[in-house]
Order: sequence, then C-alpha cells, then structure tokens
Amino acid sequence: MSDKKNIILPTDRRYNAEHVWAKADGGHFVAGISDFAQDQLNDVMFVDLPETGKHFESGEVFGSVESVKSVNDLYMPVSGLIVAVNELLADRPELVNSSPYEEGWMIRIQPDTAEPLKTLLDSEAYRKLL
Amino acid sequence: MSSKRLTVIGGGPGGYSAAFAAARSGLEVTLVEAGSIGGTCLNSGCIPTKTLKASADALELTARLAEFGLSGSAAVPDMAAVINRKNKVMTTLRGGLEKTCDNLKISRISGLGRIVSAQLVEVTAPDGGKHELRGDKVIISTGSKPLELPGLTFDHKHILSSDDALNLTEIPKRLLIVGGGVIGCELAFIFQAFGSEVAIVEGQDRLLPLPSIDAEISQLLQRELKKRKIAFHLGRVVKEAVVTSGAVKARLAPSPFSATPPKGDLEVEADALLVTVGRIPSTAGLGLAETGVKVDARGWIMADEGLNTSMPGVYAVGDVLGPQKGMLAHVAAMEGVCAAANCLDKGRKMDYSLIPSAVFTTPEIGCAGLSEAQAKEHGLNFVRHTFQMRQLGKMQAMGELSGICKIIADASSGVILGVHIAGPHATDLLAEAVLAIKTKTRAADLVEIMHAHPTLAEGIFEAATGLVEQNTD
Repeated sequence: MSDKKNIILPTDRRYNAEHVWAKADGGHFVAGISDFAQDQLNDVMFVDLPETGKHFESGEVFGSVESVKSVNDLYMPVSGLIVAVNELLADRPELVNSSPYEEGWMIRIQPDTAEPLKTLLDSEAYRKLL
Repeated sequence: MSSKRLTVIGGGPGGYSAAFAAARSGLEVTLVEAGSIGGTCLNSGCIPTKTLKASADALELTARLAEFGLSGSAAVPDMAAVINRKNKVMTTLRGGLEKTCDNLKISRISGLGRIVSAQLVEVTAPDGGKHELRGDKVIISTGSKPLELPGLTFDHKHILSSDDALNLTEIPKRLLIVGGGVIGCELAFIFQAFGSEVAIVEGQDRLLPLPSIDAEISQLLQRELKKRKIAFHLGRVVKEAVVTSGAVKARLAPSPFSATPPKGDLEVEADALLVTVGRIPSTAGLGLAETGVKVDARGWIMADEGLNTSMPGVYAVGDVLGPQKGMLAHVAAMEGVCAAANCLDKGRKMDYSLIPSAVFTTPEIGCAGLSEAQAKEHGLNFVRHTFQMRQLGKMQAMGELSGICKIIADASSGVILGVHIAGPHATDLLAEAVLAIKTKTRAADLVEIMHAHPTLAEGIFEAATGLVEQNTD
C-alpha cells in the first residue's frame, strides 16, 4: 500500500467521503473511485455497475467494486440519472487500479440540479480525511 | 391387540419418513406410490439437481487448472454421461429406501391411491387392477408438480419444466429461465457451467425474492450472475412466447409484482424456455372432493399443527400442504415423523419457526432465522454485522473469494435471530447457525467457542466477533 503522501488527488474534481470522485463534463458528471480507494482495495477483479436509465439519490449505493481483499459499495456523489457506464471495465477491471481518474471511470451522471458539486470535498479537504 | 394399520399415500420424503417412523413405533404400514419411491426430492428435485451440480462444479474446476499450478485444458461435458451418472445415483438411493422398507416390514404397493374413508384406500395399479387397503389411519403425502403458465404449455423440447431440465442430453445454446426463485437460480448456474447462454426473468425486484432470504444475499447473487454474464431481467413477466423455426421468441412485459417496473416490453429470443415459477398440488384422483377433505383456494390440503386434515384419522404432510408450510424435503420429513407419532395419539405439534434454506447456486447460500427485512417488519431492536468470507485464510487457500456471513441479533440480549451465509459449502455451514438460533445462543457465547482453523466455519465466528466488537463501545 502506498504512503498517503503519494496518493494522487487531482484538483479538477471533487470527492465524497466514500472515496468517489465526480468531475463536470459537458452538462454531466463523470464519476469513479479515488487513487486512495484503488490503492486500499488492491487488484480490482470486478466492478458491478448499474443499468443506464436508473436514478439514484446522492449517497445511495449505485454499485460495488470487488477486489481480492473485499467487496465495497459505491456511493453516488450527486443525485441523478445514469446515462452511461464504462463498458471497458467488464473485461478490464484492472483499469480502476492503473487509471482511476481516466480510463477507469465508472459512471456518467445527468444531475438533478445545476450545481451539486458544492456539497462535495475538494482535493485538500478529502486528503485530510484519509 | 393387533397393531394399528397405517396407509401412507406417496413415497417421497414426507411419506417415507412417516412410514419409517410409524413402522419403528409398531404400526403396520403400507406405502402406496404411483411413480418411484423417493418422490420429487429423489426423482426430480433435490438429488438430481445436486448430481448435475457436482458435474458442473467439476467442469468449472477444470477451467481453472492453471490457477492451481496444474497443466491441462478445460474438460468438455458429455451430457449423456452426466445424465447417466445422475440416474445411477438415483437408482442407488431408491434401492436404499426400498431396502429400509423391507427391513421395517413396510408393504409397498405401486399405484394411484384414492381415499374412500380414513379406514379405506383404493389403489389403482398400473395395469388397471384395483386393490382395497383397509386400515386405521391414512397419511397423505402426494406432493406437488411444476406449475405450467397459461400459453406456455410444456412441450418438453422448447418449453421446459424443471423435470425436463434434469434430463436434457443436449444443452440449449440460449436458455431463458422464467422465475428467479431457488430452482430457477440453481439451474441458471448449472446450465451456464455446461455452456448455455442463460438469462433469467423475474417478476419481483430481486432474485430469490423470498421473505427469508436477506437482501444482501440477493445482491451478492446478482453480482455473481453478472460476473458470469448471466443476464437477468427483474420486474418483468413473460407476456407471450412463440416457438418458431426451432427457437422461442418471448415478449417480456413490466411485472405487476414489481414496485418499480421497467418501462415498455422487451423481446428476447432463446432456444429453450425453462419455466420455474412455482408448483401445484398433486391431488388428482386422491378423492379429496368426494370425501370432503378440505383444501384451500389453490387446492393445497389444509392441516392443523398436528397435521390433521378436516377428516378425522387422515393426516397430510409435505408439499401437498403448500407454500405456507415451506415446500422443502426437510420440512416434509419432520411433518412425516410428527404425523406418524400422532397416529399413535402422541399429540405432537409441528414447529415451523426455524426452517433452514439451502440454495445450491455458486456460491452456495445457507439461511436460517430472520432476514433484516423480517426483523424490521417485526419491529425488533436488532443489530447486524456482515463478514466478508474472503478475509478467511481458508478461502484464500482454496482460491475462493465470494461469500459473506451475516448475523442479525437482538440488540439488548445479543441472542442470534438470523444467519445468512453465502460461499463455498454454505449449505453445510448452515447447521451451526440453525443450532445457535434454536438454542438462543448469543453472539457473545458463540465467540467463546473455539472454531477450528483454518476452516470456513470461522466465518460465523468472525461475524459474531464483529457483532460483539461493534456493540461494545
């Protein structure tokens, strides 16, 4: 496991206390898990993602991520509709470990409200939690 | 004084358990069976499914040889040989039951039994001949059979019942299973292992939608299905299915049983449809209407806690009592023993309060006691803890990961109220949980008991430890 100082937390996105990041992208939000989370999990074997078209409230469980060590629920960073999921993760779950912020993205959300990210933590506040 | 004579109609787990117990207690017993001894359990249920599962599990292991440092390639199933093995196991077990009947001097008669009165049963033999069996008491244990949906008549080729599924020598390329209960889910894993592309349609909002099955267990199972690319359509029912050019085209509509049904219809094509939506009573020709033995609106025989039907001297046990009493072989067996005792006026009462559930999916599931939803419904003040089985050394050593052990306990006393296990051998691990619940063991007591290491039984120990730690702050 990495030293907490080496955990990468990009400043272009926000985080919830359950280690899920959300980044604005053309009216939607893309979400995935943080570098801290993937590091804690170790090798990700399976990501259970929801069906597109489903709606979840902020804080609701939208799926789970499974590694050799454990299975962990994934909590919605904002309330909204799932408009897309990362199909690549079905065959390449390891992308969550190698690229948690880019290729390892998990869901694309159409948010219920205009500016929901304000309720989330910025990278500094999130780092303090770890 | 001559012995009391008992006629048992139906030789499944309910019937033969009643017959054996009665014979051992000194009753003169005649067992009537229209098909094969062993009933649904031995001939078209528990036993054949488990033998198929053993073949499926062996097959799956051969695809993982490299993981265990072995060279070799995955095996190929020979379904005729798989079915042959199943039939051999069934023959062996039937032989065992027949031998026990002989040893206990139980007379066996082949034929369809009809109750004329508590003292007279008429049996129609396969050749049409009629025999009259005079006696003092009757136990009905005629069981149940697969429910056929309207418009989906079993043709045993494209529209299959669970009976058909257990005799398939050719694996359907695409299999649509209608009904995501225990039977549907078990067969989904078995057929996927043998090479079918499987999909399940379930009218409710989760798989294994039984009150006794905890939501976390359904969630785990659904995740395991996704890993195996077994599709499942929740909140949907089959509106219609048409067999054309050797395939089945099914239209799946939103389900009236769903709290959040999906929108619109879905078309699914398969090579075969397997219907596992429930069962109906096997009471044709039994003479219930003529003799006035009361049945409910669905035809299930009504019996009190002593297994007495509305006709004095006539008892009923097993599946024929319907889903309210738990349609399981172990329930039938207990009922059979209870009814046999009551034939000798022992006044025993059946206790349905703790019925273990064993589900042979992959991973296995073993549940007993209250689910979290049931605990909430009862307004209980409870605590819960879920332990991930992959944290056990034995699991890692075995190369198995998926599983949980969840304990629900009373918040003030710590008495264990429910245990829900998923993982390898969960169905065997369940017995400790049942014993703990029955004896009102507290989580704090369970952690005082050494559990051998490294074993899967440590899962329940760790779940109890987690519960105790969580609640001592």
